[in-house]
Amino acid sequence: MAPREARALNATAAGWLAKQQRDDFTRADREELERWLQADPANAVAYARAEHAWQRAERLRAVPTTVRRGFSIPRFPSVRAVAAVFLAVVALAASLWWGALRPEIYASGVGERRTVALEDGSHIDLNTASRIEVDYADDRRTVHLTSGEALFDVAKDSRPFIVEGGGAVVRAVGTQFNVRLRGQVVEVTVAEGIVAVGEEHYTRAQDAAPAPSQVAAGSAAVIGPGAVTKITLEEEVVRRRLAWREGVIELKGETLDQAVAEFNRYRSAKLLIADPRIASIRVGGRFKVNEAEKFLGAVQAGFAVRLVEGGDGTVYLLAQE
Amino acid sequence: MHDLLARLAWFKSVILPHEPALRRQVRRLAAPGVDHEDVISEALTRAYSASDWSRIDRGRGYLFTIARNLLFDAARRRSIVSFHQFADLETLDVPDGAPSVETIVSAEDELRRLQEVVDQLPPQCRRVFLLRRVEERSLQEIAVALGLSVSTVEKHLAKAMELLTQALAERDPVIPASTAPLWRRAKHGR
Repeated sequence: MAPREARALNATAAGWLAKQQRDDFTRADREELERWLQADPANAVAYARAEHAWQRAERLRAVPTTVRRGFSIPRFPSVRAVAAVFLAVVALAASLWWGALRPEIYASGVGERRTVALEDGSHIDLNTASRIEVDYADDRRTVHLTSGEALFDVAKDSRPFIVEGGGAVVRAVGTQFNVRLRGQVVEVTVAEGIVAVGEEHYTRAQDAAPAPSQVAAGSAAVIGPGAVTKITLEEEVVRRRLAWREGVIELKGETLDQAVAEFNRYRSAKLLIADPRIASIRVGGRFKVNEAEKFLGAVQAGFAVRLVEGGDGTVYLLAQE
Repeated sequence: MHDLLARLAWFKSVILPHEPALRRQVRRLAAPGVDHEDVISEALTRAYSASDWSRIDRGRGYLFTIARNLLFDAARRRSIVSFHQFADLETLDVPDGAPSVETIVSAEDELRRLQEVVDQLPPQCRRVFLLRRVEERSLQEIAVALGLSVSTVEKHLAKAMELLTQALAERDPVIPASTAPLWRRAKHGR
């Protein structure tokens, strides 16, 4: 085939792919496409190549920020969003009515993410399966994180903003930080400003307490029983820890074990590593939190791992014999 | 019709992941004066036309064998085959056992490749492509947002796909050569 001919064929194939994206792609169009595909294997090859590229490009969907730079257009609000706004208005009216009803409780379900706007202009993003109690008083703003993970975007105010959870206390004025309850320890990551962190019982009993540790932007602290450990993080790591706000899990050399635990936070049907030999495989990539299937596909493609689905939806990861 | 779709699906999952490797090998091994693109597209078309396609699940070996024969023929016609080239052509026959180093690509590498390729699209093509593929907007919505007609949006999308197809054909996909693709598992119940 002459180069010019080959180029024309590729353009025609790409044209078919684009045309198929139209809402008004009709049955007649489809039949015409099929006739074209059957007319010459070279047509089918050109079309398959374009479709293959289209399918490969799907992976880009897991990367909202870097690629989408400024190209977003607002979506029409969905029925669900309208309903949510309606419910929020009702809830607000109710809380105004009940004035003294405190604390306010906000929670997210498994796989859900939500943003809570507070009266002082602060925002709290709740990650999957998380729960907070907001207790604002005249002299302090207190939020209890009782489960999960939350990102606090704190508006400046004369009152300190205090997050308590998992035995840790984080105190801030105006700043942005993430708090994640991780079993025995609490992980605090600071994106902006400075916060003071400490253990709850010390901070409460102000006399004998050791001075709380200061944690600045780009750093993190792990608060465990009897110890506060501070770590300086690369910008990249801070970004990755906050990627959940875009609904993304970013992996870079985590073990399969850790990666699976990360996806499981968003799933009710869990993934389970049923073979310790594969638990320490290192994985990388950027995935949407609700697209564990893609992650599993990539794992299967890259490693000798096979999947077995249990009756209850649990997916078992096994070594391929 | 069902046959056509099944064959296309097979071709995409078993053969096309090896196109980038095929391109590199053919360029490296073709005798002087042999048109690479001709050999590559002929190899792909022959692979697509295989009568026993449903039994072929090791695309790399199959595709490379076709390509090697085509290269032999082309070289023979030009009677310029040296010993050295024959030896090289043998190396085209890569077994499907272990994936070759070049095809082990992590999900992250794939993402970086895709981004590179998309970044090189003309601005309007890129915008349309990302809105459709990443944000899943309808062509109608995109047309309204960018102040274009739907058919212009469609043309930009077609151009983007043409360029992407060409660029991605040079870059290995994330699926390594050795992995039996999903369709095979489904078929043999493995």
